Amino acid sequence: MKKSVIHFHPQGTLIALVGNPNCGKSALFNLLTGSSQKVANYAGVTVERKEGLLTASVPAARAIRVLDLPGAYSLNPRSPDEKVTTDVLYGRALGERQPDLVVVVVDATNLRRTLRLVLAVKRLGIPCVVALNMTDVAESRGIHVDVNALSQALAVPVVTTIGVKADGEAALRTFINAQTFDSATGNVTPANSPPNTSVNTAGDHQTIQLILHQLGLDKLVPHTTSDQIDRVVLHPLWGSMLLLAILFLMFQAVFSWAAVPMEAIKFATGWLAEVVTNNMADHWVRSLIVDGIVAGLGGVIVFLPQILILFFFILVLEESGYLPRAAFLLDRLMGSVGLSGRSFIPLLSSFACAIPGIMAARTIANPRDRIVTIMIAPLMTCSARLPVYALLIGAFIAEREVAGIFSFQGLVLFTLYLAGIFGAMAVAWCLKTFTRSGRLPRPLMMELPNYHWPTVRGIAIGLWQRALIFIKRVGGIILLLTILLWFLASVPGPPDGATGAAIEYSLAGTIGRVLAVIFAPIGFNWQICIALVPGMAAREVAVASLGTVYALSAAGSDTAAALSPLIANQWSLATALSLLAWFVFAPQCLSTLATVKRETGGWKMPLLMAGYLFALAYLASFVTYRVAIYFSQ
Amino acid sequence: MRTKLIYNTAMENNVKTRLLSEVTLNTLHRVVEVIAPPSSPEWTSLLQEIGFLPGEQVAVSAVGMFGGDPLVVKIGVSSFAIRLAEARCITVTPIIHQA
Repeated sequence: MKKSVIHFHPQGTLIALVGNPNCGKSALFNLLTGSSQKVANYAGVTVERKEGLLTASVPAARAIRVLDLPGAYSLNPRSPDEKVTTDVLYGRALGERQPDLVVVVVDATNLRRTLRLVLAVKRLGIPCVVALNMTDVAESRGIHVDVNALSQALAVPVVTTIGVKADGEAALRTFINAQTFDSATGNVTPANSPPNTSVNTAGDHQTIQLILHQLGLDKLVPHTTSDQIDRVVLHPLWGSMLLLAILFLMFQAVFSWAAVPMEAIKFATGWLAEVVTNNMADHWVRSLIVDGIVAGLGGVIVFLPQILILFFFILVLEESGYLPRAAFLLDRLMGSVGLSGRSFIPLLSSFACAIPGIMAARTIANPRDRIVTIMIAPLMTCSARLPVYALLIGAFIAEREVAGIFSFQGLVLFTLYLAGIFGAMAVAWCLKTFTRSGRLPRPLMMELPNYHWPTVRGIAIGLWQRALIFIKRVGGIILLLTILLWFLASVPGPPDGATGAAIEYSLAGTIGRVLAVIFAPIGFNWQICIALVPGMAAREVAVASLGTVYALSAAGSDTAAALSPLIANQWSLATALSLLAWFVFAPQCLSTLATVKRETGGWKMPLLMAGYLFALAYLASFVTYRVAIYFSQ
Repeated sequence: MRTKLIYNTAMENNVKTRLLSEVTLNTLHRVVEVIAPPSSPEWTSLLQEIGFLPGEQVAVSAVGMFGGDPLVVKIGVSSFAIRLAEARCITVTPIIHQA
């Protein structure tokens, strides 16, 4: 059944920001709306919709909504993101009316390209104003724009802004406040004659050449610093080595820099468990707190430092403008498996978490490439797998130095990441070889923006948001599942005269023994099988679950003690390696599957994904287990 | 029109034109025309919208390690990564510097 859509337009004036990608539009949006931003999705599509209220509007009672539209090169959309921009401007987006005023943000250092969008918007017949942004950068490079002359030439008001400076939006704010909007109707009357929207790129180009000539701006002023950096970064040999070095440093840092804060968190959880144990009577509540909550959550929160270090690297690379360069260097490699360099950015985000990665795949214009990227994104080692890898590597791989500088544990971790990447490449290659659409030529056309120093503020906000999301997960779903698992593992209690640990008689023990039949060929014992079930909700829960399972198995001893020496004694190396292989491939995350359903608009893709990942994981674990047993004999 | 002139001069005086896929690294050229292959006609407007328009200055500033694909092309003051197949759609003519 098709849902009917109710067109609900909130009262008040609507202002939309449009601009080319990388023109500093979002920074300007942040200045205009401050903390009043709401991030949601557009109706019917999954493009992120950013809206805010104009802060300090005059008169104060006037509510002005500001919409930050996805960046676009033209009104001829080339991706789902750009289509939203076009639809909103044409007044045909679901649940969104045509804006009362369009602010076209243009990059003062690149008027040649950005002014074309102004002409296109002007033709729509909606009131518009040009925000000449990045004027500080332009001035520093000797580009002086005569604002009045530009305004006259375009026949559109022009104000100057600096998106990266506090108060940089003042002129635009003054302009908006001086406008009277006919918000009584809340709607712009659609023009009787359709606006003249025929795409005339060459004609617009000539108009702009003329304007730039009049303004004395037709000389090209290249960004020499970016060009100089690119000479190294894009060099076939040095650039590739640099990329490898950056990725390698990233994974080494995840292990070495995080050691101290992780020790501190471990110490704190141990101390907390001890305090509770000493101050409470032996009661089921104490068991719930110590064995369930502290052992479970402590086992997950300990990985926060590593996740933050990983995100730190990704954020810095993203803000500096390096990521598209990396995508360029990897384009040929990705092309060999039927993808483009564009898929690199969603896939790199998937190393932090597959969900933002799958959502970032929306920037891929080609529908086929987008689906393939989504399908292989969960094979990238997300940060939720890190706790599992870290636990197993810490327990089974002896730490030593390799070649004097590398940590052997770091090398093993790097190998696991590579296994995920090669798995993904293999899947993409199969899809390229066995589908017709995989062999059609597809364009790349990816902009390499100028380099920026990442701002401390930008990185800090990004890290803070990531930390918050992680802690919310720990406090929410992980806490809930940990308690549920503790319940399953404690009920029913052991019968009188029982000899084994309590958990063997519980519901969880029963479930584990049933599952163990399926997983015995790949070397999983029943404790692992129990942990895998709640691990479906969030991978890192598997560690918390093992913590709870073993805490309850170890009858009466120091329960919150580290899990790692415990499993090192009880599991064979083959089992540990098999579990590692399992986690490289297994579809162990319900939120990822839910995101895939939402992004692809149906159950087909998520079911396909779960099926193929499960098969791949079982196969990989089986081979790993058998080979490991063969060599250990 | 200035751009029109450049376009015409290049075509009529039979000044040497070549495809962007064939030019040497870091030499300045001017775009003459953009013609997409019949199999993907939409490439013309896609390339024009990111700046590949007659008269624009263009130079190849880097090429990929394997087979020179993809390329980084400076168009105006922007840089774009495009593939050889897209570069073959773009006809250019060298800019001769006056002393």
